Formats: sequence, structure tokens, C-alpha cells
Amino acid sequence: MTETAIEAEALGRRYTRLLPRRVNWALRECSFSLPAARVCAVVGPNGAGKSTLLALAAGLDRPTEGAIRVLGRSPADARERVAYVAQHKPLYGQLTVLDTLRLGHALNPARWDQATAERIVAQGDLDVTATVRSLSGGQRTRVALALALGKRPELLLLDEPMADLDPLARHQLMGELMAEAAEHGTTVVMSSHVIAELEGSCDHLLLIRRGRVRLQGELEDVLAAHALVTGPADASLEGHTVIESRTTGRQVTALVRRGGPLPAAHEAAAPTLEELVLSYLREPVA
Amino acid sequence: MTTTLTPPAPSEASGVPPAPVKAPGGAAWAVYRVHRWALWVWIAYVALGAGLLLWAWGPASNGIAAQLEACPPVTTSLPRSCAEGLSEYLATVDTYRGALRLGFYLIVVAPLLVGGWAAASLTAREEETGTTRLAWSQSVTPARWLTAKLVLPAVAVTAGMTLLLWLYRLGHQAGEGGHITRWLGGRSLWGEDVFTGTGVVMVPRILCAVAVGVLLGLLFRRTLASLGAGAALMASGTVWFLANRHLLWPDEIRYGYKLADPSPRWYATADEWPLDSGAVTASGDLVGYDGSCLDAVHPSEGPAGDTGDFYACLKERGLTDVWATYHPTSHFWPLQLVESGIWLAVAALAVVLSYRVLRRRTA
Repeated sequence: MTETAIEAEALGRRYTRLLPRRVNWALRECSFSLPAARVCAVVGPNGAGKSTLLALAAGLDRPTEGAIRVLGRSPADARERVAYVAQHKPLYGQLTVLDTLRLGHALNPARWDQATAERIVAQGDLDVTATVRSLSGGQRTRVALALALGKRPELLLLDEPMADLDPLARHQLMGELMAEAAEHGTTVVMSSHVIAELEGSCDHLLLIRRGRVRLQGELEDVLAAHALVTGPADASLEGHTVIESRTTGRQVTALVRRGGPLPAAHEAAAPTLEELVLSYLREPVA
Repeated sequence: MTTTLTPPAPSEASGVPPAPVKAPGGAAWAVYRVHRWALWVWIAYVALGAGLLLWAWGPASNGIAAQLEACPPVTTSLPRSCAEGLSEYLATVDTYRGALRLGFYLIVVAPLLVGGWAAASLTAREEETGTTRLAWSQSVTPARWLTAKLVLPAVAVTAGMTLLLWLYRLGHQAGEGGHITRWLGGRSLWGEDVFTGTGVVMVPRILCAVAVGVLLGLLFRRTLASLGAGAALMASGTVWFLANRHLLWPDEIRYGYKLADPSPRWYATADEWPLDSGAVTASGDLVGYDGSCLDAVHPSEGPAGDTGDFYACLKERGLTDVWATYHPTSHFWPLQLVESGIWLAVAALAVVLSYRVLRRRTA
């Protein structure tokens, strides 16, 4: 297996609307590298470019500039080894669950793992002879995941996989997904804006904002590199990058990226993933 | 006595019935499974047309023959000798022609429906519901997906249309070619029904409908817009050829007035396709002409004139001769082939553009 799952170099994707003319960069100058055999979270606000990034990796879109390599190849060449689940879980509504799995078999003849696909479906306690149209949102997500995992991908791209699930179903499906990924050493790259669903399952973080990479790295390293400090308002935080600060009276609370030992006047605490991500998302745009 | 310890039989834990082990047919199977209903509708459509045409070919034209036998014509004109048989005969001819005409309508409307369906269902709906993202992220490349989307419907519509055309030809020949032509006069070779029903243009036309539909769906990505555009484009193509088909092959021109059979007029003989006619001036220009000199040959009173009277009349008006442009019967197949070629060229262009759109859109 290659060391790098996805590698992007100055990646950019521009969308142009003809009438009225509007040019919009969904992604711009994105350079990053996501390691293989990890669970990577792509986080960012709505419209940050997460879906565009995943679609580019899945070979469903072409970059306007720059390059993206998936599992060491072009996305087109990696197509067979990559599975992708789009945000709205598109499936053929008129097909039964069973026929949907047959479709997966027909379209992935060399890789299809019927047992895995059936197991995912069976765990959901749904009628396999029902048409996909009649399924609930959670059941649809389950079928879409079964289709993706049945392909036995080396890289699994999930665009907001759990967005339309209730907390219980989310927890259960996430558990199954992580178990499958761990068993087969699958790299998972999932986008989300629900940070709670990432905590505990992800070990790599890619934060995108307004089409640009704002932060990336191993989750532990990223968390360790930041500190939530509280101290007097007049004390200097020079040498540290202040991501966000809030002043209450004489006290200031700030999330900083450590540039060395923190000043003694400050009380430092490790931020949670949620605090970290929210601070970056709230950070004013330069 | 021996006791054997047998391990308990492994019970099937999952509630999912075992799936077939063999890989089912790749992209072709996928396209078939997704568009299964459309195939059934097409089969029903062809069966309806085939039924009508078979009925025209068998029972209806046999009925006409039987009636003629029961009441044989005594002259080359209609069998006026038995009046009650005549009306029955004409009624049978009407039902025969009605069935043939309905069959023809089904043939000529099919590309419009196929164009709309291909645009809406084959591509636009998949783009709209996002299932292209599902299909294109499987092991099968988007190009192969598109190939299956083009080839399978193309095979189905070609087979269905060929069958309908063959049956139309049978039905047409059984009636129009035989008794009806003899007693009631035939249909012109150049009428829309005979030209498209007994020719080959419908097969390229319906293939074009599939190709153009697929392209429109990929471009518009909206089901309703693509449905309308596909049907409208095929309809306008059909109407364009209906109105301008005669331009597809150089026509022929004939000068001179001839009184003799098969036609006393200069511009139309049997089975030719009259296009335009007029007179020639002294300076050799071709001009329009109202045919008023025919009165000199066929006056409302008095004895009929001859060719000399006609030319004398023309001379009085400063004209030297008359002319007519037309397509002879021998132009039937060249016109068929040119029209077919145009449809096929448009289809090929649409196919090439579809692959290009796909290549621009996916990696």
C-alpha cells in the first residue's frame, strides 16, 4: 500500500456560471497530503469546498489548476480502488436493495465482496426486497455504505456520511464503518461539519475554509500544538499565533498555536477538537 | 456403539438471501436493470404497431381480395356492376388504410418519443438525482458507462424499428401494390408515409434520437428540459426533412409540352415527384407560368386542340417553351441514402460530443 492516500498540489477548482456571469473558486491553492491507512476528517463550514475536494479525489470532477493524486496515481487510474459516497447518497430508487447490491457486483466484477455488503445491509434490519425509494434516510445511507464497502476499496471517500442520521443510527453506523475500515486497513477520508461524530474516530485532520487549507496534520499533533490560554489582557502573547481571542473584563481567553513556552502569566489548557475547529472557523479572514 | 460428535451446521446468520456468485454482465446489465421498464414499454409499443400492420397485411388485405373475387370487376374501372358490394369494398379499403396509417404514425412518432426519453431518462435524470456520481465512482469507467447507455438502447430501437418497417412494407405491398392500386389508384412514392414507411430513413433517425437525447441530457442535466428538448429537436428534424427532402439530391428538368399519355400535362407523370414548373422566355430565362395556355388545348367549348395550339398560345405571350423540375423514381434510393447519411452524421457528432462532455466532466 502506498504511503500517501491523497496528495494535492496547488489544487484549484473554479466554477463558472454563464448567465449572469459569476466565477467562483470552490478550491484554490490547496496543497496537502493525507496519509494512508488512517481515518482523515475533512472539516470546514458549508461551502468550504469539502465536497469539491472529495469529488476531485473520486475522479468525478477535473481540477481547473494544480494536480491531485490518489493512491499514487491519477484519480482515473485509481477509480477501481476507491469508493465514494456522495452527500445525498444517490441510489437508484426503483431498484430493490438486493438489486442495488447486484449492481455493485456488476459494476465492480473484479473486487466485489458480496459478504461484506450483505453484512452491512443485514445489520440494518431492513427488507432487502424493498425498493430503495421506500427506505428511510438512515437505511439509504446504510445501503450506500454497503455498496461502497462491497467494492473493497483501499480508499473510502465519504461526503457528509452521517448528516441525515439520528444520533443513535449515526453512532451505530460509524462503529460498523470503523470496524470494517480497521479490519481491511482501509483509508477513510470523510468530510463533516458535525465535529462530534469525528472525535474518537479520526486520527488526521484537514481543515478547509473558503477553498483553502487552513490546518492539517495528525490530530494529536494538531491538538498538542495549540493551547487554550487565559491570562491578563495586557500580557503579551508574542511569539504565539493567536487564532481567536475573547476579552472579558481584564481577562483574555485565546486559542493560540504555540510558538514556544507559554508565558507564565497565562493559564494554559489543552483544547478539545471542537474548540479548536470552532476557533479556526471563527477566525476573521485576513 | 459409537458416538460421533458433529459440529453444528453453520447457520446462516444474515437474513440476506445468497446472491448469485457470477458477476452479472457488467455495465450492460446495470443499464438494463435501471431502464428495464423503458424496455418493456418499447416492446409494448412495437407490439401494438406490429399488430396493426399485421392486421393490415393479413385479414384486411385478404378481405379486400375476397370481396373483389365475390364481385369481380368487369372493366378496368371499379366494379360498378354490383353496387352493394362496392360500398363494402370501399369500407374494407378504409379500415385497411386506417390500420396502415396508424402503424405509420407509430413509426414516425417513435423517434420523437425516443429522443425525449433518451434525453430525460438515460442521462438527465441520472445527473439530476446524482446517480451519475454513483455510477461513475464504480470500477467501470464513465466512458464504458456511456457506451452501455448508447449501445443497448440503440440495439433495442433498431430491432423494434426494423420489425415495424418490415411489417409496414408487407402491409403496404399487400394492399397498395395489388388490388387497391389497380382500382382506386396507388399512393405516391413520395408521400411521407410511403417514403419513410417503405424506405430506410427511420432506422438512422431513431438511432439519432438516442444519440442526440443522450447528449442533451448530459448538457442540460435537467429531466424536464431535456425531455422537451429531445422531443422538440427530433420533431423539428422530422419536419425539416418533410419540407426540404427534395433538396437532398439534384433534381431533373424537362422541357416541352406533351399531349400524350401518361399525362397530358408537362409537369407530372406517374410516380415522379413534381417540384416546380414554369415557362421559358425568348431570352432563355425560366419564369413562373400560370398554365393558361392549357385552355387552348382543352377549351371549355369546341374541339380539343393539339400541341401546335399550345405552342402558338405560348408564342403569343412571348414564351418559347415550358419546363418542369422533378425527381424521377430512380431518385428514391439516393434521397433515402442522403437523408439517412445526414441522420447518421448528426448521431455520430452527438456521440463524439457526449464522450467529450464526459471526459471534460470526469477524470
